[in-house]
Amino acid sequence: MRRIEFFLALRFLKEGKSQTALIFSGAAAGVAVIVFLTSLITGLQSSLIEQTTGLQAHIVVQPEEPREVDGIYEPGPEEIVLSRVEPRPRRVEKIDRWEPLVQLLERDEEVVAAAPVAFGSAAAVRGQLRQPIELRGVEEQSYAQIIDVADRLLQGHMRLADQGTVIGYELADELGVTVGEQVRFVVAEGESRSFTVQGIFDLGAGPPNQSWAFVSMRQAQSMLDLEEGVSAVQATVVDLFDSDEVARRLQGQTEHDLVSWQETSQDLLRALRTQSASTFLIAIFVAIAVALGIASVLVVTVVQKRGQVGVLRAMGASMGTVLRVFLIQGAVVGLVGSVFGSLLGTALALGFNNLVRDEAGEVIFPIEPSPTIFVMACLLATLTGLLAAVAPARRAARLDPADAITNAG
Amino acid sequence: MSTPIVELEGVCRDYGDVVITRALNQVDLSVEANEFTSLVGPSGSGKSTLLNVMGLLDRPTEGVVLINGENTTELDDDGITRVRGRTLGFIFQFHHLLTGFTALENVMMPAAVDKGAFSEEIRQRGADLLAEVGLEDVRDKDVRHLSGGQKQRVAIARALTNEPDLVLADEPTGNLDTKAADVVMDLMRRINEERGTAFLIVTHDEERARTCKRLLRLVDGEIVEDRDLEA
Repeated sequence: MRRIEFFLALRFLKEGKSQTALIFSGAAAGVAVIVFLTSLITGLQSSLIEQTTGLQAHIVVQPEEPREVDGIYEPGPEEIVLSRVEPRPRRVEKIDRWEPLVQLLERDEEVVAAAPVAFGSAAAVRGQLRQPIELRGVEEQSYAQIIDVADRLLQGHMRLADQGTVIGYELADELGVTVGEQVRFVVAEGESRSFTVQGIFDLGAGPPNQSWAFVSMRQAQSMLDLEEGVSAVQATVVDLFDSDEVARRLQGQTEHDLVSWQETSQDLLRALRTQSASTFLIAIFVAIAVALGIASVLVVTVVQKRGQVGVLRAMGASMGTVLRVFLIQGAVVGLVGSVFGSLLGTALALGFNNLVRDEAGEVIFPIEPSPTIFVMACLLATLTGLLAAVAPARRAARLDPADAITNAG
Repeated sequence: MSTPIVELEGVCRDYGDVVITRALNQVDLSVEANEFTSLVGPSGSGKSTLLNVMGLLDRPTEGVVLINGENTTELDDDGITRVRGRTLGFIFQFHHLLTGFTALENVMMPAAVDKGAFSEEIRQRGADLLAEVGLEDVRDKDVRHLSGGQKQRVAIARALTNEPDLVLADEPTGNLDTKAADVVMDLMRRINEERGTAFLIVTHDEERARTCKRLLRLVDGEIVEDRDLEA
């Protein structure tokens, strides 16, 4: 590229004021749609993922699944085998030696923290009221790095020692208890203990708010007959989208099952992928529409400027120079259009944040246009402008100079 | 004997695919340094075609075009562009200045295209040329705001920017009133005398044509008269 080519390209754009305004507007509108839509979908997806992963660990180490026993006898073609499968006696599934598992997980540089959890079904009883609950025994400090319950308390404190419990606000409403009051938890085997409600949380989703009750690890182990064992070890990783890979990597080092959140949320991820694909397709079609707009205006410009192109060729401008002058125009239109489009898309996104709110006046899901979206939109629009200019630029470069000068009048 | 700037040998130029029209027929012609030549002929005789072929804006169907002894027939577009930009200058009837550009920018453009950018040296050269054609006062004006005569003087200055050996002028006075036409003709003659730049001027005006040093007459694509008017 030579400076004179930029000079000519910018002057041609400046010269055709109305056409340039039209073409910039088209490119800006297209980019605004892409930026707004991408921000909207990204915000929505981030919100869904946050809601999903905010209530569960990125990786859960579960007790090993009982393996299917291979057939002892393979029947021949003429033989019939009568078999009866005896049901396995029910037993408490637990991880007895969980400390080495925590150490194994925390040694991995991708793992932020690991914490044991003891959980099981129980009922919360207060007077005549009885609600099914999930009793969750945790160590306050380590579990805070998996789900920060303390940060989501509506009342009280995250204090589980001395027969303390922290329960969901919907469960508290059902039972009619508040902080400082007593509630009794009963497990299936009949054991019953009283706890003092120390805190009431809102984890932002129905099931935890309706049924979760946190107690100390010791209490849960004792009530659920886990002895020194735990139900699972949960872990948080640096990049939640690496959870699957981390789980696979560590799987070989333990007999227990490592399950990532991606594995348990495949429907959500499939929906998000479909949504992303739809967004991508919309962006592509918008880019095509923008490209066609840029190309058609540039074709008109080539026709209008044919005399000047002919004179430039007569002055010594090569076909390559003419080609680049029009390619630069396409790229500049794309680049400048994308800058304005990004600003417009951001304004739309911020407007959406301010206008679209739930009944309580809260933002439904925050849209935060990221610099990455700007950069990608600018690159996409510049490339689109450049590609859109190829056909008009080739047409300009191939103009016969004598014919162009003669017929330009 | 010096090498001609432009030399045509047996040049023909045909147009059309089905019905062939021969615009130039076996033209042999040479133009040398310092010449001030007029080319006359009736409309449709092939004057503009001859100018385009000599200026390498068009390629002959048959024959050879030599520029300073270099056969241009085999040159690719880049080669043609290089030879054209450095050897030849053009003036058109409708001036064909770049609208939206100043007079100075128009004059600097051939040198900037050749060098790839504007420079102080090019700017100075453009300013000097505009002064030479008497337009130093309007150098920063958009050419759309100049009169017809001023535009054609800017076009003359532009044609001289790369110090060409030959300027090909296609009816440079055809769109001007008599006074402006006289100014333009006198200017080209002065440049020819002072700088030694050769001119080949297409004109319909027989009277002006006879004020040149040499007269060529083209009829039906053939040169029927080649007269030295100084003899």
